[in-house]
Amino acid sequence: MTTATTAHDELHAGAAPPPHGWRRLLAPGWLRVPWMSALFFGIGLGITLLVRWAEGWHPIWDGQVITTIELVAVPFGFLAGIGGFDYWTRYAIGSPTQPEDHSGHGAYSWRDYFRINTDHKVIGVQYVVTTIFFFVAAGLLAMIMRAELARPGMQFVGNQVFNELFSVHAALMIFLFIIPAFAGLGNYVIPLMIGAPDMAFPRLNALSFWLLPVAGLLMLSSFFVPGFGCGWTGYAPLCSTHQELGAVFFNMGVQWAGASSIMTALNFLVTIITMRAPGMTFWRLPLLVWANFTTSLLVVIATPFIAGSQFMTMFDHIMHTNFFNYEAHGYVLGYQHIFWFYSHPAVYIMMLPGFGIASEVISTFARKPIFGYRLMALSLMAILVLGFSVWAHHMFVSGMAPWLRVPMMVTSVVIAVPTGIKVFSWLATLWEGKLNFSTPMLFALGFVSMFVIGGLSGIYLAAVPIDIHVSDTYFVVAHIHYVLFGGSLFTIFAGIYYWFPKMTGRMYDERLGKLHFWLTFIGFNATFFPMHYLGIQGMPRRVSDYAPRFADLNFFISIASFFLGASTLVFLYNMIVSWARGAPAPANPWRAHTLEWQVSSPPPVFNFDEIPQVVGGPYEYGVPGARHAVFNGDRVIEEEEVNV
Amino acid sequence: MSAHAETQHAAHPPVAHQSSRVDARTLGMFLFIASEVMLFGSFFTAYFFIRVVNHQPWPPHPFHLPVFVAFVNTAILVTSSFTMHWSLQSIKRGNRVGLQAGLTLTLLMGLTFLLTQLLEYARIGFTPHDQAFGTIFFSLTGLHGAHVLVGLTILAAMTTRAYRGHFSPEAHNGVEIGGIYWHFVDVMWIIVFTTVYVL
Amino acid sequence: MPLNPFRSEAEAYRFVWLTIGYFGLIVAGALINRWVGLAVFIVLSAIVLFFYFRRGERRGARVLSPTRAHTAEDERRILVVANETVGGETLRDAIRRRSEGSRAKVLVVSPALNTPLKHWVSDDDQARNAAQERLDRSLARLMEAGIEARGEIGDGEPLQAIEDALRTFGADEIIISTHPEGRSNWLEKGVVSGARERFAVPITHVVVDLQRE
Repeated sequence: MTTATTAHDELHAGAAPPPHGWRRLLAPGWLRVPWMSALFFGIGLGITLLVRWAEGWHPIWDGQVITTIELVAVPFGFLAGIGGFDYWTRYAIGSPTQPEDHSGHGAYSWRDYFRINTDHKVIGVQYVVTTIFFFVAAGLLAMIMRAELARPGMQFVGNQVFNELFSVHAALMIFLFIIPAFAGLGNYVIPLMIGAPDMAFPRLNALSFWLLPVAGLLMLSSFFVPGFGCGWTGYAPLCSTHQELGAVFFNMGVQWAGASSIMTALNFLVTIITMRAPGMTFWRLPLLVWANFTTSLLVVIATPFIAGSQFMTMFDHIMHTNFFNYEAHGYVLGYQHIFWFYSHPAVYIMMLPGFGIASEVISTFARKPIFGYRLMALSLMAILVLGFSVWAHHMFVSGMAPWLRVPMMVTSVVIAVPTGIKVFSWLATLWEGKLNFSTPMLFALGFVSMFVIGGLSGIYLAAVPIDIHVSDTYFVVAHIHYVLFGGSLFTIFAGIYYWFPKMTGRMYDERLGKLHFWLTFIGFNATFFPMHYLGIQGMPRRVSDYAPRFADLNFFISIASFFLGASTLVFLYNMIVSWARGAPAPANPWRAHTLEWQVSSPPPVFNFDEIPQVVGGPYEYGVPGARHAVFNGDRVIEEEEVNV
Repeated sequence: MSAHAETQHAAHPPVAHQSSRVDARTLGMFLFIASEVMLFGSFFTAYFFIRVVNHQPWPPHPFHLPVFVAFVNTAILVTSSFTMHWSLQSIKRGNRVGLQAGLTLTLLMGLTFLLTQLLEYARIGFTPHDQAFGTIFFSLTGLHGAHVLVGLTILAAMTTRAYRGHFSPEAHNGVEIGGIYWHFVDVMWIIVFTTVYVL
Repeated sequence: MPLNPFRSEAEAYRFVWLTIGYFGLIVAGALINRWVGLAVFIVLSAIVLFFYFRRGERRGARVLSPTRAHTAEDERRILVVANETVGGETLRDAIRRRSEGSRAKVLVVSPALNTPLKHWVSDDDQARNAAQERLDRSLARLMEAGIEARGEIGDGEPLQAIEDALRTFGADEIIISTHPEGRSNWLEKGVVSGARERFAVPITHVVVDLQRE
């Protein structure tokens, strides 16, 4: 453990002395949060009551309306309290600008992780740790579901609670785990990889993180009001006019998570476009940066559609509007179109960064350049474009216009082409490479194989006749878990293990890592593979009970899922203990070429003392004389020995 | 537990390399506007479903839309774009009075627009619960109104800063970027007005 | 990047008036007749798209100067960029003339030129091998002429190869050697003029006519 640094002391020499006594309640931070949240609560309440009284809308005190307003007001209070808006408020009222003393930047103690921090590395760690927390929470919900499903009949929970379980499970996994986990890993790695000292908008970055706990809290609290049991897809009219207040918690939670996602994507795009190191052309970007670039474009363009759809459901629910009310000339199916127009690109948002991570890991641990680098980048762009053309394949059995089905089938099948290019590229990268089967590599290889299985079941589902048969059955559950667990989650694990030394300055325990992989791989396949068969046999999804003929397989799956759940404990233990007591990590334990490995582990607080100059591609392993970047002009950086 | 290595490192970040001619903040504002356009897009999609797919006459019987008032409002908003542009041109030439006057006028006109809109809401004779027409009318114009409110907040901040002596011919990014947002609000209104009131 | 059509408030302001015009014309057409309105919409949209895609990306000159911290005062660093013409007598004379009278370090960069198809599938092994052969031949011939030079294989794009060499080698001047006009691919692609715009070091263009030599 390193001691306090002199540079840190210098940094704060010129800063104002920290406040004392009651003034601490005014300083940004957790002391300010309670009273500011209460203040905003009061303002929200006051405005609502005032407007309702002035307009004569009775009852003036409407619990549902007030709750909805407060779900906006109180989070703003929280964010204001913790200091997310301080700088901008000072700017807006025209106060004299204070010179930046970087006191809000960097982590010098554990406390720095629990406050607004502008350092992208700190934010990245905050993201990853928070998302793992929600991953565990959502996983526990799944365990309860599997406990209920182990035997026919109802043993532990009632129907409504079961419905709430699968709804919140998915909402947490999608909006509070996979999407932000990739955002967090990207946040940490991207500025380092492109040779930038930080993101383009560090304060916006800090704010975007703190929206996550807000969103997560909203989703989890939905259990304590009458919850939402209509599935994360939230179809109108079931999830609008026919749901309890919990549905509003879901609507709002999605908005906060979506806002966080869009802010991060904005930041990524501007950073990647405007802050690359000299010589780093777009065709020299590491594929992780390419992947996050395309994902961010997807986020910026698509996420507002889910925001819109959730606004509409919420308005139908609380304000009794008629977006999806057939009798009032609304268009019921409109919800599904608008919702899926985001939610299909959402699955690419949940996978493309993983593709980037897989490329990084496979290239490094095969000691070979990525095969077909340019086509890998172009296929990402192709998936981006095509991803907007396939949304109605989620609606084949919805009763939508029949003529739309075949075009959607065609586009859904076509999107397998760029994805296939990527899979074959990874395989070709591995071919005759010098493979090192460390934990990140195991997860990357597991990802490639499991994602292919998930992709194949996806092709099956893209075919309308098959989809009609297996829609809303466990076949779909199998597909989504193969691509999201075997796909996204495996790459998240790969990324966490891969960058763990860089982020924490310590090595994780390799044996425990391998154990985690194998337990997960076996448990995952045992849990989800049989679901393909269950689905084809006709077991519906989102049910708390089932026909007796499905009993044996369900029992097997439940036992396997507990095994899978237990494997996560190995991961958690490894992460916590290694972070606290692991062996100190060298700057470049994997001998990779990309820029983040050319600085210490963990990196200096401002990443680079001097911006590197990029003079070649990032994957030139085994190419004699090739360098990715140089520091200090014509002095070549010290390569960690050897020709590969 | 320190997250940073023993430092003999710089106490200040190195200056990032500018790899694009586009200014970062302008690009950020443009991307933000792109996401807002998509948000309007989702509501326009609902409008498309409600009007076109459901084959509804527009406005359906017995609703009436105050097209003339809305047209006058449109003229006010367009003029405010003009004054916004004028204020930016002024500060680029060092004319502080022009900057302040332009921003103030823009703010006032924007406020007029919003208040007129609210008045029309009160007088229009139908509510958001009155059929899908009422819903989509209030949500499209209301969504736009919310963006006007955000724009007015930004304008208020710019005006405050302008009166407190900030901005100069060399440093007026705040006016430029706020101006881009305001023009977006104007363009969006033209689209909303044309589709909802006129066509 | 062609993604951003707005780089300033002025462009956004112009967009306001264009939008008014666009919608105004459509509404006017629609008032005459529905189908007129639709026709106006299609025509105007086509015009808009035409102009949008026509705006080519003008590469602004980003003038690069080399970064060098650790070289001796009287040392001249010469970067030679050549493809097939390194064997030319004219080029060797040019190099010899410039390297006389001072301690000259010569770096020859041989860009790994590739066919467009192979370039896009990132298959540059053959290109690199060919470039290595050309490089070895060039260095040998320069050695015969008494010029001691180092060699490197460069990026497939000649301008990028020069930029990379400037970053690592820090040249005081560059000699670009091409075939004569009409037979030179590089001249067609504006390599020399592009280099003059982009790099703040003196650039000598040597034309080597291998046929005449």
